[in-house]
Amino acid sequence: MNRSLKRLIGCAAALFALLTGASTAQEPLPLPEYSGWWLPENFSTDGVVIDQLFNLILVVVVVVFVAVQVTLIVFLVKYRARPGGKATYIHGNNRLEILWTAVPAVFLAVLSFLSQQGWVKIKPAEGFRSGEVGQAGREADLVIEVVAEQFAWNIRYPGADSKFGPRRPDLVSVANPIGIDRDHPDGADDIFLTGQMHVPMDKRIQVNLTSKDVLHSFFLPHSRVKQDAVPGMVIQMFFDVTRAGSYEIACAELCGNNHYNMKGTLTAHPTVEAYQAAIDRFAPAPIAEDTQ
Amino acid sequence: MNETHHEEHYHDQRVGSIRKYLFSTDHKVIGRQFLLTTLFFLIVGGLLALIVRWQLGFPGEAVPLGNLLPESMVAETEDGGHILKPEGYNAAFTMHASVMIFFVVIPMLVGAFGNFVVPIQIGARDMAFPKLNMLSYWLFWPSAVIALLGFFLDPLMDAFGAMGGGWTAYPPLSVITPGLGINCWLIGVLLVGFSSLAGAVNYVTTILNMRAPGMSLFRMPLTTWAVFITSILTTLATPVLTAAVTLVLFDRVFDTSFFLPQGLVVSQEMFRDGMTGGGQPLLFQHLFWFYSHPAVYIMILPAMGIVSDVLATFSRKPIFGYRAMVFAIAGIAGLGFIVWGHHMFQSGMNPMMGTTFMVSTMFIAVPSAIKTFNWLGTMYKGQIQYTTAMCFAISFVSMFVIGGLSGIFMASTIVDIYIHDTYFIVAHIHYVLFAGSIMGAFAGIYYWYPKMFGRMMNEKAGKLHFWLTFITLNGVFFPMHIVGLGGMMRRIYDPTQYAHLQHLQPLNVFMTVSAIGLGFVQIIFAVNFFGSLVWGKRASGNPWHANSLEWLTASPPPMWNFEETPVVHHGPYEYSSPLTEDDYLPQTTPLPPPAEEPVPVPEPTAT
Repeated sequence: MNRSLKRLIGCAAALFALLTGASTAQEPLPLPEYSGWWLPENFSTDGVVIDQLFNLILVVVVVVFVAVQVTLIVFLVKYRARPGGKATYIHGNNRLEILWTAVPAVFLAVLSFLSQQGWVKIKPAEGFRSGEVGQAGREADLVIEVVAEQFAWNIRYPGADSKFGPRRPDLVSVANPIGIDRDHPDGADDIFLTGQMHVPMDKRIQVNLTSKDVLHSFFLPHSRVKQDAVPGMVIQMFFDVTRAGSYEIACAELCGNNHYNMKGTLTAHPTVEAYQAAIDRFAPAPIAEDTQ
Repeated sequence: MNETHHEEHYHDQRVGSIRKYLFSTDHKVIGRQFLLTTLFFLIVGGLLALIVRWQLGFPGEAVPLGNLLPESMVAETEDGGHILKPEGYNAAFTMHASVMIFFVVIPMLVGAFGNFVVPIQIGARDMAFPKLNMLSYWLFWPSAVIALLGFFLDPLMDAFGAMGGGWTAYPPLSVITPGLGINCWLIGVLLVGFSSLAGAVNYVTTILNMRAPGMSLFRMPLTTWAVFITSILTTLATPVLTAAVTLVLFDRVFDTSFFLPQGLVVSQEMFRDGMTGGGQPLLFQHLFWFYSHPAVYIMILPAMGIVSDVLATFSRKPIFGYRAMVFAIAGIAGLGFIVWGHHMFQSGMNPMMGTTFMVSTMFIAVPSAIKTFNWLGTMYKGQIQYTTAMCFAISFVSMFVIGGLSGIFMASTIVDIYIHDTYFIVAHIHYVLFAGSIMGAFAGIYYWYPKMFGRMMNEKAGKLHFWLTFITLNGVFFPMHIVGLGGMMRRIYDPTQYAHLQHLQPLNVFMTVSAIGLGFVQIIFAVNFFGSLVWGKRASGNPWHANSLEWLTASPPPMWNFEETPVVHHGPYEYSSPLTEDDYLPQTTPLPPPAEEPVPVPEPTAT
């Protein structure tokens, strides 16, 4: 049973690859260049804020680190035991204690404040988990649904009517992995893809993120995006991509044996038209298919 | 048991060798048992780490000695090699973490040092509940065996190997994955919780009730303070883990839905025919981290206590800001209960709670900073003696700074978006738990070995062990920061699958080579540890010229620790007092009166 199922999925995947390969006659957009031992280049607006705070913390941390290590080394050399020497009898100094309590506290309070400035923007609490269009905590140009499963990213676009049809777990099959109700008027034109996501560049994307089975985490290194997908919850998240090109979607939360291979591709198209053309290739045929 | 019977037992020291060495109620024997057992599990956990590192450095290449691994972990290749399967990899890192946390660091710091050192440091004859103490040790073995059983079950049944769902055991993965190995792990963790609880209750009672005359709370050495506060943490937090693990077990065995939402679909089929619902996967994470974050402090606070004692002894100086140190331990413990949500910033928890947890997490860095500065203050104007124990303690201070500072990145909610679940976090925890706790434990071993076994360890071998460990550990763990910033996720079987990680592969190879080196270096320690039992120089009662009570009795201490109950006159850190000739003043020796009351000379005031 299990084996035949796997074979069936394999066949479907092969067919899928054949179809998409045939229709992506256009040039595939390039992946970013990878080199250097640092954060991958950022291609998003939120990422700029995140990287700025990262750099600020880094500077402070390096200063503290160097100061402490240098002090330590100086003490180790200067106060090494000498024959006949006696240590100075010091029990402590309350003024110093207050100083080195207050200074880190003030600094950490400032960091919390700066972090909070970005946090309310990047992950707004308003509308969080509502997952309904129009209740978003943030303006978005486009809403995409992502349903994670072991071990694939299922992507759904609402189609021409801008409305997602209901998903029903009892309709799930190999051909319809997220159980879209195609008989429902909203669901008939929903566009469904697996493992690839298309967006126009420089547009704010809202993702309604959920999972069918276990926890996953939607990770876009280049847009500094990470959000766990939780079964039973629909979580809103937002991102944009500021450079046309292809990027990797990774799973960052352990989800089973093939967790390491749960990859997807995000393509940011230079124009809205190119994006539309890319997803229209996956639009369902106008005749209702035999999902039964 | 009546009083007379107790008295008889006290006088009759001719107990059989099984009662004396195996099922002993003597805290010193139990402490040594915990030490040897946890060192054994350190080898097990270390080998599991090497399997993980091998796969990350050389993905898909045959594991050396892979034929010795359980069949559930490896697949045989055509040329007879054994490569690790993804499920084997998952089991290896899950068990590495579980073994190191539950069966090495916690029982070594609390079980071994707490047991051996604390009663003597407070001048007690034994623990308050000796039989409970024995039970704590003997619960440890079954729990460890059961937790690891999954590795060995497959020849008998379809157990699908050991637990591979991460030591965090997040549902629904830990519920929907079949296999007896996971049930075994859950039961093992449940049992080891009882072992820690039995120990913790015992320490709290012992420290509160059995201190020698004159040993007020603020005259206790910091090791004892740390074990005391750690034990309070354990008693408050562990029951929550027990509950969480039990509920997962119920979800697996009795088909309950504590953590399963409605409409779960696994492999395109309704899970349990749709008979799930009402549960919340996030609930488990809250319960789990409510224990496991304090557990991080359970794993570091005793090491901080040990390091404080070692630093004061070998700087020949009073600890700087003793009370501030005690309050910092208490502060870390208190704040430690309200920061658990920082593990869940990106979990789907409401972002408003993220703000709360960010603020509390930022502020837990304050007491840690206080401790670091006080350690530096302790060395200031000291007479630093570079014993092996001292080297490990100094390295603890230096490395803890790295682990502490890298924590600030994750405490910031927005920076955490990027580095959460990457190797940056793995680097952080290893700087805290290896470069911190394990190095602190090594300091403790080199420091108290003479007291435990009556012989000195070899200092030259000790120094060699220290330097090689120090270098290789940084070789393993520092590059983890870099691959983490490069975006390498945790718990992935093959990083080369991702285009954005391929150029980091040389670093992975370097870390793996360093890890193998780190493993081999520990052979020096093992030879020194066991060799010194036989060939070590006999230790005097107080080889380090230290003040606290454990040094004022024979090495090793006699049956009831002291020939007569010690009377304490002052705190444990009276080193280099101007009132004494020697540079130390044992706690049982009264402070000499000031030689001559200096006549106050009015200072000329400048006008």
